[in-house]
Amino acid sequence: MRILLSSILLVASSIPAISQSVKPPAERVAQQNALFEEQYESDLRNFPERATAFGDYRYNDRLNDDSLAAIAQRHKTDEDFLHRLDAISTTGFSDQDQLSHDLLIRVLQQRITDFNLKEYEMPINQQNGIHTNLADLPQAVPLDSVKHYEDYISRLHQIPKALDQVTEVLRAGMKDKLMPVRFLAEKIPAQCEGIIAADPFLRPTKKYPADISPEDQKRLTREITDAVNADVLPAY
Amino acid sequence: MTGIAKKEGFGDLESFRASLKNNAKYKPTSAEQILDDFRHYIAQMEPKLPQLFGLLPKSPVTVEAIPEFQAAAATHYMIGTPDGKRPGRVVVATSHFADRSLIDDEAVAYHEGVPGHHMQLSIQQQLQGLPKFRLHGLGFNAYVEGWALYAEQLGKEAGFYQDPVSDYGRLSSELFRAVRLVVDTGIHAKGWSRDQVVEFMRKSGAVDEPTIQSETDRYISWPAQALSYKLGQLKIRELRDRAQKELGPKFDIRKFHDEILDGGTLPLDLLEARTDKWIASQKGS
Repeated sequence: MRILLSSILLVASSIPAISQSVKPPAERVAQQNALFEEQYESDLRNFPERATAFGDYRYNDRLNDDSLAAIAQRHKTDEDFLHRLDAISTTGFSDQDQLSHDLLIRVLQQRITDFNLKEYEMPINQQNGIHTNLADLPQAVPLDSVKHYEDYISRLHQIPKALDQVTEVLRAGMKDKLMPVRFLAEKIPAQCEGIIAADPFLRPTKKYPADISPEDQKRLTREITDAVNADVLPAY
Repeated sequence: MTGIAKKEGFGDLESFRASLKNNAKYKPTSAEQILDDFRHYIAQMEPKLPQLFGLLPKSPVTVEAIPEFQAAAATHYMIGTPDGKRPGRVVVATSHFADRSLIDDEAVAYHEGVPGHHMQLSIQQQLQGLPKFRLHGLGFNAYVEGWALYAEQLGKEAGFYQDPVSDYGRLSSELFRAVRLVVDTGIHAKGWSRDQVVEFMRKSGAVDEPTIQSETDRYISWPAQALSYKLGQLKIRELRDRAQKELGPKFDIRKFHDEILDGGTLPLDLLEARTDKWIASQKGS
C-alpha cells in the first residue's frame, strides 16, 4: 500500500503542486468538493444497484456491470480520482474538510489494494453473491409506479447477461486459483435451485399500488412472468 | 455470566447453561414468535433513545424473516432509503426454529435495529453539510459493527434486559464476539481445522449448534470480517472512557454519542483522532 501510494504521489507532485500552494484554502476546498461530487456521481453511474439502494432512481433500470472489462475500467477510474485528490493541498483546511480528504483517499486506496489482490475474482460464497442479491431485488427496488415496475422488468431481462459476466469472473478466479473452499462452493448450486423453487422474482405481481390501473397491472404481470420464465429462471 | 447463574440459584455457569437448554420458555414454538420478539424489543427501545442521544433516526425500521433459500445467512440489517419510503429492514434467521433459542434476541434486536445498525446508518444517511460519499457505509466494518455491538450494552443502560436470562444472552453475545477473535485468526493465521473451530465454539458456550455450524463456514469464506465487531466496540468504549475521564462533570453521554455518529462511518484511527479533538474542544467550552 505505502509503496503504491508513494509512486502515485510522485506522479501527482509533478503536476500542479506549485500553483496549488498559492491558491487560498477556500478555493482548494471548493475544488475538493467538486471532485467529491464528481467521484460520487461516477460511483452511482458505475453501480446502478447502489444508486437504487441510496434512493436515487436515475439508473433504476440497470444492473451492475460485473464484467472483467468493467472492473478494470472502474479500477482506472479509482486511480485517476486518487491521483487528483492527492494533488489538492489541504494546508489551511478545517478539520472536517481535512477528514473528508483523508477519508476518500483511504476509500480509494482500499479499493486499489483490493483490485491488486484480485479480490473481485471471488464474488460468490455460500452466504451471498450475485445469485442471492438478484433474488433480493423485489425487496430492494422501489415499486411505487408503473415506471418502477418497468425498470424492474428491464432489470429482469438483464439477469442472464449479469450471470454470464460473473461466470466469466469466476473462470478468471479458477485460473488464478482464487475460489471458495470446495465444500462451501458445493453449497451454491442448491441455493440457486432453492431460488428457482421459491421464485421470488414474481413477488411484485402479488400486490400492486392502488393507483396502477387494472389494465396496467395485467400487462405488468404478463411481462414480469414472461421475463422470469424466458430469461431469469433458465439463466439460474 | 457466572454472577447471573449464582443469582439464579445455580452452583456454577455450566449447570445454569444446562438448565437453559431444556427450558421451554426460551425455545421458540414458531418462526413468527422469533419475529415478534424482535419487534417487541425494538419497540420498547425507541422511546428511550432521547435519554442517550440528541440525534434520532428519522426513518422507520421493520422486521422480517430470512427467506428459505438463504437459510445459511445470519440475522442482518438492510438499509432503507434516506426519504424513509423504503424502511430499514431487520432480517431475522428463523429456519429450524425449534433448534434455536430466544435468549439472545434482545441483544440482537438492539444490535440490528435501534440503537444499533438502523440508528447509526439511518442517521448517517441524513447528515447535513458533509460531502455525499460520507452519508453511506463505505465498508469500514470495525466502526459499523463495533457500534452495533456497543449498542447492545446501551439496552442495559436504558434499563432493559430485565429478564436475567436475556442479560445472560447479552453477555453471551459479547463472549461470542470475543470468541471470533480466537477462531478467525485460528483459521486464517494459525492453520486451525474446521473441527477445531467447532470444538472451541462449543466449549465457549456462547452460541447454539446451528449458529456454530453456519458461523464457522462464514469465517472460512470471509476472512477477518468477524474481528471487526469486538475491535470496534473496544475502541468506542475506550473513547467513551477517555472522554468521561477527561471531561469529568462536563461529560454528557448524549453529546458523546452524537459526536461518534455525526461524522458518519470512519476507520477507527480517524475516529479516534476526531474524538480526541472533540474532547479537547469540550474541555475549553
